[in-house]
Amino acid sequence: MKPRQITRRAFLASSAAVTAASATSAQVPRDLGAPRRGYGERSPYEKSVRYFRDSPTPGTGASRTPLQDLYGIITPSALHFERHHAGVPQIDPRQHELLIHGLVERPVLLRMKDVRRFPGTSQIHFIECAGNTGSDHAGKPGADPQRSHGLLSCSEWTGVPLKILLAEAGLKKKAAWLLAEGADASRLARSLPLSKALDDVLVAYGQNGEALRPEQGYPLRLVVPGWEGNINIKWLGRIQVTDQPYMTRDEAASYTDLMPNGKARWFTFVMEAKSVITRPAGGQILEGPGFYDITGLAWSGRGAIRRVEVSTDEGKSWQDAGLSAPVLPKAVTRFSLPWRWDGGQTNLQSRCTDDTGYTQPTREELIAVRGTIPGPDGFNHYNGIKIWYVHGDGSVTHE
Amino acid sequence: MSEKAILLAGFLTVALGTAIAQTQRFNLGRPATPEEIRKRDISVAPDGTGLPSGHGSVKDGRYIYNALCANCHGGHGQGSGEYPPLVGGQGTLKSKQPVLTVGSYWPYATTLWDYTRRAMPYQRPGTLSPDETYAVTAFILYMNRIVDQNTVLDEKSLPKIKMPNRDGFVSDPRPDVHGPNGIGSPQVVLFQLSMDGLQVTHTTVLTSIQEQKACFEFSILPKSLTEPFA
Repeated sequence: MKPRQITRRAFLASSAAVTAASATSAQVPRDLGAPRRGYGERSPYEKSVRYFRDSPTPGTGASRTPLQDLYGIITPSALHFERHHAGVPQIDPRQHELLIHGLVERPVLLRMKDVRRFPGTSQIHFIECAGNTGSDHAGKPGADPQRSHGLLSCSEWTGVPLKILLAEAGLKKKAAWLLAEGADASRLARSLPLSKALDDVLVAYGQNGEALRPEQGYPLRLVVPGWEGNINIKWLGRIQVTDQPYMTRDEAASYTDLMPNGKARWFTFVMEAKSVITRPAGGQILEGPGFYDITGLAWSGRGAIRRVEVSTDEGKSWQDAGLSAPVLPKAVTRFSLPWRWDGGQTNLQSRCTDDTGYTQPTREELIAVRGTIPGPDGFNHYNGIKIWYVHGDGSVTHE
Repeated sequence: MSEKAILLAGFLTVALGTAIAQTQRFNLGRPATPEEIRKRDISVAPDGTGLPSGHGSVKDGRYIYNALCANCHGGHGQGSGEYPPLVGGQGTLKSKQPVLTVGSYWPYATTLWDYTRRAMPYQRPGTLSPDETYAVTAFILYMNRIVDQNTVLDEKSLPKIKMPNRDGFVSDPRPDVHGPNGIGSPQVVLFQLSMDGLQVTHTTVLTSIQEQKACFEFSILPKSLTEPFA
């Protein structure tokens, strides 16, 4: 009771002060703000959400990141795109163990508290679904950045380099691949060549400064920098070191690319350099002629972005956009270019070059080689230049 | 940072590296017993490694398929709505409208067996026994005319089945299409991991596209990768 009396007394005193002040400057009383809270939420005025369609099988499918609403390079964890094949498991981290076995000297079981005791590191990397921008490949371009490119997100991931865990188990001479398996209901599994496993792969428990979100693999996932999303196994429960790829469905049927000659490409791991203007972009309206800061994202699974060029005149000329620091390998890079819109009809395009010297191609260049016939799960690994059309009334559209 | 501090930091790094190299392991976690591994290891390789012993017939498979699978994939494996067809399409892969199914597209029968046991039926994955999985696999292959109606599959016969599209896949030739500034020269770095420590060092840098392709061509990869271990 005592604290409340004190508060009431303090309130009466401040009311008297307000009354006294009002006599001279007629101020309107201001409401007190909200109290403290344990876990923060965004402003109720911020409404941006992931996009997905209802389905008879809600446990399988994807939701898309609202790229047009993001600032900087980090995707808020709550807006990271989702792709699940058998729902999001609820895993008690005290019960979760990672088994490492197969062609190793010392098969080992690691609890989460063991995993966190190994030397850790944090790395900023994008994860992009192999099927991102597949509708653009199909000639049915996404209407806004979320619908066209929203199977892309970028986070700071914290965890243990996989090579440290493999060294702990000790590799046998015949070791050449490993099979990583999730603890989701469908035990999703993918084969990963050891050359990548010993390079930059992370066994991650942290995302953007806190534990992974359940939809991102809580409590443990693989982060395979620059490679297609599906191989970044979530809810990681088992790593089996092998001498061959095991030809799981998601590498020997799905996520393959059917070519016009009837042959299909498989083990197309790397997500090639790609970029998209996120503002101004499809679904947005320019308020009138004048200044606009064109901004967007560029990324490459092979390394760092070295250059982004933007055309504001339907591809007739290209200008170098500015790259905002940090420019990191296998992470998204924020670019921008100041632009004065004259009110006329035009289109906006971006193309990026990575530090291997590879430049993003046009859709026409891509389909001339790869064709327009979808594989078993649509189009994968498309990275063509995205075009946004600006109309005289200020509307921006995708076609 | 002062010069002295940089020297000190360098010294500490070397000292720490030496300490790790000497202890070689962190000794975290606990050894997994053969029984614990056996309970969790459900991996199946295309050569049949990992297949549990068991058997299942086309006849039994038809019964299980009709009870558990037909509701989504159709009575004849034709698919429905969002649920993919499992049957048909052989010979259509080069056409303008290829039909991609287990029968026409999937390269290994083990992939069908493995995926069925891992992920099907969709609402209750992981509930099929090995015998039931052999039976359903046999029936789906029978519907695709890959095996005959009297077939009984087991761990020996399943990996011997040659799927129609077994030779229909090629390794990744990218970068194959690029914009005006160039195709680039991707680098692949191989690492050497010593048998008993953290001695991870660069061993090879592949700078040409041809070398990179060879690296990911897995008929070549195991040899090139295991050389450092020999």
